Amino acid sequence: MTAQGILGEVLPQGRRLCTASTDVWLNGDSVDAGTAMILDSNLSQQARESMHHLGDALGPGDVYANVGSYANLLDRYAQVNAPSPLLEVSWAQRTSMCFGPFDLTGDLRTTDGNVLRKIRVSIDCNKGASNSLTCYVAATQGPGIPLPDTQIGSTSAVLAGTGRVQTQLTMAINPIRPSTRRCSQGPVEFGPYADLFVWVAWRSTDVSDAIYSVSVWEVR
Amino acid sequence: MPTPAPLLPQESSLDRMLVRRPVSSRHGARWASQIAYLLGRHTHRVCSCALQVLSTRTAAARPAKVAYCRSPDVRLALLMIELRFDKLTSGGGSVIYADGFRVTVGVTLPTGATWVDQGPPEALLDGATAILLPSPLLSGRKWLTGIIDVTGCSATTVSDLTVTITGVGTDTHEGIGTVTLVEMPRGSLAPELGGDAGLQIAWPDPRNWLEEGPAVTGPRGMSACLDLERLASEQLRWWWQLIGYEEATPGTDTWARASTAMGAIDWRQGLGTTVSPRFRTRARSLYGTSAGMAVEIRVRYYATGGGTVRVIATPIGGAASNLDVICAAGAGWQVATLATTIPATGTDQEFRIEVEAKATSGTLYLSQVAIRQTEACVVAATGLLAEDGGTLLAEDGSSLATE
Repeated sequence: MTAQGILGEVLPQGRRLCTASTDVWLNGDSVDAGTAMILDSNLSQQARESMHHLGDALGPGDVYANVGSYANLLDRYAQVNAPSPLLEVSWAQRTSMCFGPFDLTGDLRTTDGNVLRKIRVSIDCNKGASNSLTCYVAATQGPGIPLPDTQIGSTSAVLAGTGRVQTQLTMAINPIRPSTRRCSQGPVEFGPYADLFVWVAWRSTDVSDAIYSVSVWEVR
Repeated sequence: MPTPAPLLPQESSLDRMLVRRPVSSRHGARWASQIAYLLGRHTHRVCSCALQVLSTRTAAARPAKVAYCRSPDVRLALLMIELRFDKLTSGGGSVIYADGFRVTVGVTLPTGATWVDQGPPEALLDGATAILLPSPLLSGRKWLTGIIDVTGCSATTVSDLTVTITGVGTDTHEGIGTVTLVEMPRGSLAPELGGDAGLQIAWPDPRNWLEEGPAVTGPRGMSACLDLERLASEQLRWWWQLIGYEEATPGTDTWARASTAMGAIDWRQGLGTTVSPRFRTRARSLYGTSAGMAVEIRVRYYATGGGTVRVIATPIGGAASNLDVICAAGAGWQVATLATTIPATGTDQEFRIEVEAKATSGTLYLSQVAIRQTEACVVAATGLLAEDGGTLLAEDGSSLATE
């Protein structure tokens, strides 16, 4: 058996049960402990494996032309020696992409209690020169652009070396209060929803820098 | 009373269930709760795909299609569409301005779906309302939102949702931004009303007796529990989806492969054929990593001479598998599928995805690649544990450990 915890214990064996549609389970039979363990283990296993793929993007290809990410913007300006990596890019559409909204599950146990699952982003890119391409990942609750005081998770990486690489950034999400969203109509039902948007941005200083694809998924 | 769908999985300890001893009915309450959690909270994250920026602005219609299949207990789905920026014009000197171009955005729902909210009057997703593109002078995004009633959609057959962006008059656009289609989680399930599959927490029969019947329609004892466990494993899908533009007559904005040799697709819009982009994600493993993740690969294509779309799935640290979807010849957009498995043996169960293609003759165009988990229950035999608790046995005593 594997470790207990919020995700429950699971058996090491394969686990498939036949159902009432067959003639194996009959009315009036009692449930044996072995079957109960398998059922319990299956449900725990499904909870463990319930992680979702969240988003994808192709391109945009060459990114050097977008180095002036603040160009023409009236509501953002580039800062010299920005106090946060989040301010090194404008998060405008030419230099970033945005996925969501997603509902993450808080089944990652830490010493501070249960927190939301982490988000992993894979970026297939080409580094024209060492340290020329910087990738940024951030999360917000709601569609507003990530700022130091509105982000609920962020990370960045300056990519050393040259050539093609599939780099990965894993981002922890700070505790949030879920918003309420409609879950059905007539009778109306509401439920908690994390409303999480995931942002990916880049900053390039070499003409050969390129981004070919972006993938976003949940991890613990 | 409806069963609340918990926000978190329910903890359990298997050592409370001893072989050859009665099982406490309290476990039934936990199973009901865990099933409500799975069915209510793990609805489908169908697609969130950032479409490419068109190389050239156009006023023409540019549709994109999202594959969709409902999860068992979902009621509503949320559709979010990000608009791309307006055109920026230099007025001479340092004066620049946004042109104030407008577009219409039309959405054709999947089979069986109806609108609950098609958007506010100024941004209706009806294909007729003129919507102002966001200014490139501002950093904020502009999202269009729709809420869809999906209770009438099939939970087993995939159909497409179509998003079409068109310029108003001669106003041009550069395509759609991100398209997100996610199902809304449930706050509670009410199986007693007949519409939901979940169990009532108050259900457990203290004798833990089996009870036959149309289990999924209501709280009908252990048989319902077994049915719903299977339902949760079979119909709560993992999705991976890549969408592009699907021009009615394929042109230079639609992905294409004109060679009879398998190779990189022309991904257009700044990518071309210079690279074959690599995606990465994590495979689910419900029945052990050796079993792999059962999936259906679905592609939308246009190939008058036919061809093949190849998904190359490579577990991290492992060997690549070529998963070929055969595309029959035809004059029009069609769907081809392949049922297969993807190994979950990679580091952290992660694997890499590449998509290549070849045309039998002429050109093969592609607008969608969707990979959808299709876990199916293989009924082998009654599952029993040996007395030592370590081996799963079939009724005839043979080991099911590798099943």
